Amino acid sequence: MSNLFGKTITILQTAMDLRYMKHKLITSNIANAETPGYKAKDIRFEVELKKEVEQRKGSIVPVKTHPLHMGESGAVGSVTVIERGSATKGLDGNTVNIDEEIVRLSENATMYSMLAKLIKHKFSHLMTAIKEGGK
Amino acid sequence: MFDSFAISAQALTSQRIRLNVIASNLANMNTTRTPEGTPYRRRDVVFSTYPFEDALRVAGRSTLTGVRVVDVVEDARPFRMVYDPSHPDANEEGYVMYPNVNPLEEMVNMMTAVRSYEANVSALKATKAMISKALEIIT
Repeated sequence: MSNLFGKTITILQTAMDLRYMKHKLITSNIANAETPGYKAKDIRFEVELKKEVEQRKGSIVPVKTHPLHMGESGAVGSVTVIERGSATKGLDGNTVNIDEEIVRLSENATMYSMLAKLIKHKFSHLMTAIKEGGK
Repeated sequence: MFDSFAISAQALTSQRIRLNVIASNLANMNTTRTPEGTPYRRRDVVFSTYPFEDALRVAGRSTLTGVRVVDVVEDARPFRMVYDPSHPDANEEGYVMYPNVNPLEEMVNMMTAVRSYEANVSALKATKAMISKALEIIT
């Protein structure tokens, strides 16, 4: 399987997963924009992606001894969630800055759709190879 | 993928409850009689984080949190005293106790609630757009 789809799709899958995790944290931050004592949370996308890619590089690919064993996938292991500091800390101890969160939200969503597009392109290239290869 | 939907929906509900409470405060700005025998007391909501079960759990505590209204509390600030001897609820000195509602404060809170509601609608829209983009991979 990994020969057919290559490493790119696996990395794109990981990146999409991480983008989605970030999205979940941003929606959670926006929801708690007025909860006293709530600390804004985030993941460092670039750091996490690098970690995932490097982990996979050094890891030994498990040997398949059964047809139902899963192959290599882009599923994300554990990520580190950080509490983001903010310049505007309210009297109630809440560190969510709503403008920053909205900007992050749209940036993250744009990156996510870009990744989805890239995966779509990869698949359409594969499809070309399948369809046109025999001609 | 549906965690984000649930979080945003919870936030919308919480802000709507807050708006209901504010509307009630504004409506009862001049109410001098309640079943408790006192003038109307201003009410306020208490927000609290609400843990979500998810893959982002770190050392047993959920990092992903929604929000919900855990309590509606009464404002303990003193009532407004207005001199009006002709009022049926006036005391011996001619003062009437009016609710401790400050319309300006309520308006500001109302605007904040509406803006928070809008922010959560934006988040919901972004989630929806992301899901439809992911679905576009299948062609």
